[in-house]
Amino acid sequence: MNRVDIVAVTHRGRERERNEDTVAVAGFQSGALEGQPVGFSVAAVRPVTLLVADGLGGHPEGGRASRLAAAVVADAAASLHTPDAVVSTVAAANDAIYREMAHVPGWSRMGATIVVLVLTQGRAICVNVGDSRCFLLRGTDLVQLTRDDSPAPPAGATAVATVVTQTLGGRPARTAVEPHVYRTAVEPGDRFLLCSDGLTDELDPGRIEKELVETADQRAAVEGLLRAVLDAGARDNISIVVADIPRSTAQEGTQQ
Amino acid sequence: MTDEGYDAPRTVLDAPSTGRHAAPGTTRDGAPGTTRDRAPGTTRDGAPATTYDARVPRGRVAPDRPYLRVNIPPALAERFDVDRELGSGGEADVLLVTDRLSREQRVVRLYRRQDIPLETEKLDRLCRADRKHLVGLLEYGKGEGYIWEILEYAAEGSLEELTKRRPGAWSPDQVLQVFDQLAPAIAYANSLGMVHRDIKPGNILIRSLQPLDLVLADFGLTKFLAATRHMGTTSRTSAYAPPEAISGQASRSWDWWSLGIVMVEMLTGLNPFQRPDGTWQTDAMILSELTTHDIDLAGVADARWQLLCRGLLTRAPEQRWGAEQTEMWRRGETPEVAEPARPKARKAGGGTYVFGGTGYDEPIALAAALRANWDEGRRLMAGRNVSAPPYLAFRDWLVRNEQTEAVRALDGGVSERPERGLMQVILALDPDSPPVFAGQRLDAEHLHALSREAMMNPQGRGLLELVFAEGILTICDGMPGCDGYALLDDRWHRSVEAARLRFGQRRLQVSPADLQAMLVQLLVTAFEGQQGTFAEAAYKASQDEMARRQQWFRDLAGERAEPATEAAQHAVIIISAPIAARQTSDQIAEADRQRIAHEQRLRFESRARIDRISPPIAVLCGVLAVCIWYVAPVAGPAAVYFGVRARRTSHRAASTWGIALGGIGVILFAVMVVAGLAAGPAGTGVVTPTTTP
Repeated sequence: MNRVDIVAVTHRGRERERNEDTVAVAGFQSGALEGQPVGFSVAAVRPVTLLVADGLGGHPEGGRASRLAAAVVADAAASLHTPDAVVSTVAAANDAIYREMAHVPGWSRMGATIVVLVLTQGRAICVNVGDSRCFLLRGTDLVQLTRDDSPAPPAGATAVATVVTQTLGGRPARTAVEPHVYRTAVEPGDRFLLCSDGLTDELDPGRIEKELVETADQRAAVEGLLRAVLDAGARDNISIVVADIPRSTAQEGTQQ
Repeated sequence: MTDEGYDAPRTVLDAPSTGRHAAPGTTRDGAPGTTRDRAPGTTRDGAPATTYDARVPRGRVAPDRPYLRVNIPPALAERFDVDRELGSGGEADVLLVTDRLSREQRVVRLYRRQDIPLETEKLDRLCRADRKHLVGLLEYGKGEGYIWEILEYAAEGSLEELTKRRPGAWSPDQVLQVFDQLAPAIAYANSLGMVHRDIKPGNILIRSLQPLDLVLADFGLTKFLAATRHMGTTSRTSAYAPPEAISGQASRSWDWWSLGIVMVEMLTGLNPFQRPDGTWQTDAMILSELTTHDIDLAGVADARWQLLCRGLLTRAPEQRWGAEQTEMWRRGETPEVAEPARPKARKAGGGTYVFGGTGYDEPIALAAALRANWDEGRRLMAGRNVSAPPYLAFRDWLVRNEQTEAVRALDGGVSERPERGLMQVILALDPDSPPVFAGQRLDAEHLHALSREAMMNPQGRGLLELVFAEGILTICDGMPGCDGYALLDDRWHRSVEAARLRFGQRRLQVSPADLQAMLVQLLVTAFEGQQGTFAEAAYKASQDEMARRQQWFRDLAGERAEPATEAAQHAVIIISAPIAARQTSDQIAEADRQRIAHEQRLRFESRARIDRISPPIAVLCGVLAVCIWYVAPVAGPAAVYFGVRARRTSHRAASTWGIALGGIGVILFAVMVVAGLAAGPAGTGVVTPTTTP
């Protein structure tokens, strides 16, 4: 793994006036109102940090919270070699949001969910708080790598998609977070997907999997997903980040 | 209601003609029946009955009527027109008839046996019984090879049919209406000293829907037939039978248990022995569940209803609620329940696992969900070799619920495709699960149809290829409808191996599509007794003229296969015949190409020979054309021609000389001719000094 190809987009959807999602790819941050898919090709000499932060709806200043969280994590990107480092950075983002909301009384309870994927030294470290998700597509199976902070429904009942039990910020007084950590080895050909719940609430996993499996071209895949969400109504902000680990022939050559 | 009214039917046995006026239905018709009878009855009677009457003389049986398989005894045929058959069982035929006099519809049940002990005392009691609760037994009789019953006809069908039309849980109010009809009916039957022993929605008939009027059916002669009491899978009798039924003990509280099961079924929308996808547990499962566990009442939310169900579903027959307690419950009192409801041990601390957005705390329900949402299950299991959080949560849940079998299945094959593991886990969660793979049922019947379909249509082949590669059939072995699957899978794999070996021996390149088709074909032949299915097709393929021109194909077709590899041999012949034919046609085309190339070479060689000798000829002709003027018209063009051909050789100078001399010769000749013509009249001597010296 010496290069990562990434295409990212964020979009306000069809019903929200503002876009309170923030995506950041290797230090480039966007909360564009109606963004277009942008491609990146990043050398993996330093940790490649990708993230999606989703400002809480129904609370004030969701956009501010998500941009702040994204900035805190992106600024620490160079040091994110270990899971612990990523976790403490996410905790720092939580603190930063509480510090920020102390400035203005009206900003109380602003908050965001976040999912961070760090690709470094042939490994993937995935950390999340809330219900923004990270998936891995290996072969033809889409596997979720994050654990949602959603209340488990009682037996026989269906989960309520809108409730989260843990967020960065989001409460009147400072509350610590326990981010979920996941790490795995990266293989050539792996495709990672980071997204806000604007994608997963509109499209079922089977539909997302189909798009990612059948569309080899990253940009076309991201466009296809965005189009499908907008067609489905796009009631929430949507952020999609697709990262491919290239099957590089050069790398195989060096291994032999 | 007086006894006289009911005495009449008994006389019917001896003198059918007198029985007509008796028609005990009239007493019933007075009250609730009229509304029903008038409305649907007339429309129905209008058409079929009259046509029947028109064609067949009254009072006679019509043995040649094609749609009536059953001859009704003349004694009945005199009084009733047969409308249609309602059904027939092993012991009895059931007919819908119309009484000629009263024009009322009746049900006639004809038993094809004479040896049923007619307990006339009981039957008479039944005839006299209050029709409010029981389906009216109007008469019974015996003769001409039959025993028969005449019963009232409930046009609205059974409660089972109604629940099918209104699936899901019923509201407590609706269930209470059902309870108010059934509990007094059972109490009444018990007061007559009768136990029904087969109360189930199919035996509860609807006399009217508004207001709801239910009656218990099958109280009559069927009770004396061992066959109808038999616990059969199709009759669903065992799902409503109390635990003591296993020993054959006939308790008086039997029917109250059945009522409890019916109540649970209506309140939750599902029989306790039915899986969430609507399939039923087998009798063996039901029996073992009955002997070991209480009925799970977790789905009954309301506390009062839960109390009733617990009372009715008390396992000890002598402590089970009966008429007295249910009446108390109905009045709002709280009768004592003998056994405290114990939560099932396996549920303690098991927690909920969220799959596809829905919570599950019960292995069988989760297994059904995994079957129904196969793709989500596949993604869950795909998380196994990366230890994804949803997978780990699933495994945790299995461990907490002591599903050791399932955990073993998970730990066993980390590197496998997820489908195989998923199949194993479903089976471990619900050992009685139907064999469903990727949404397709794989029991023998469906698998056979699936493979036949895939023979015609390449679309289904991918699934079967996966079934083959993952050895899914060995997992299915022992599941319902999958007897002998281990052997089937073994035969399948062996014959595919044998076929592959044959291809390998001959170094044949077989396309993936052909291999897939072969896999399907060999599945068809792997079924018991099917190995010769493609013998004829293989024979035809082996006779292909083009293919037989290949020595290896003739050898292959001539090989004698052992019975075990016969099917593989057929498949190999069928697949390799086109390959051999293609080789032959390739060889023919190659031969043609070589012949043409040879001819071209010959032509080229002869031309090259002429080219080789053309430089001297060109020069010679050129010299001749210049020197001897009168040969110039021939020699000049010849020199140019050979000169041009000589250019293809290395003698370019000779070529140039030939062309040049040839040209000059022709020009000289032309000059001579022109000069000669001009000087002709003046004097020839001037023009031809050289030629006429």
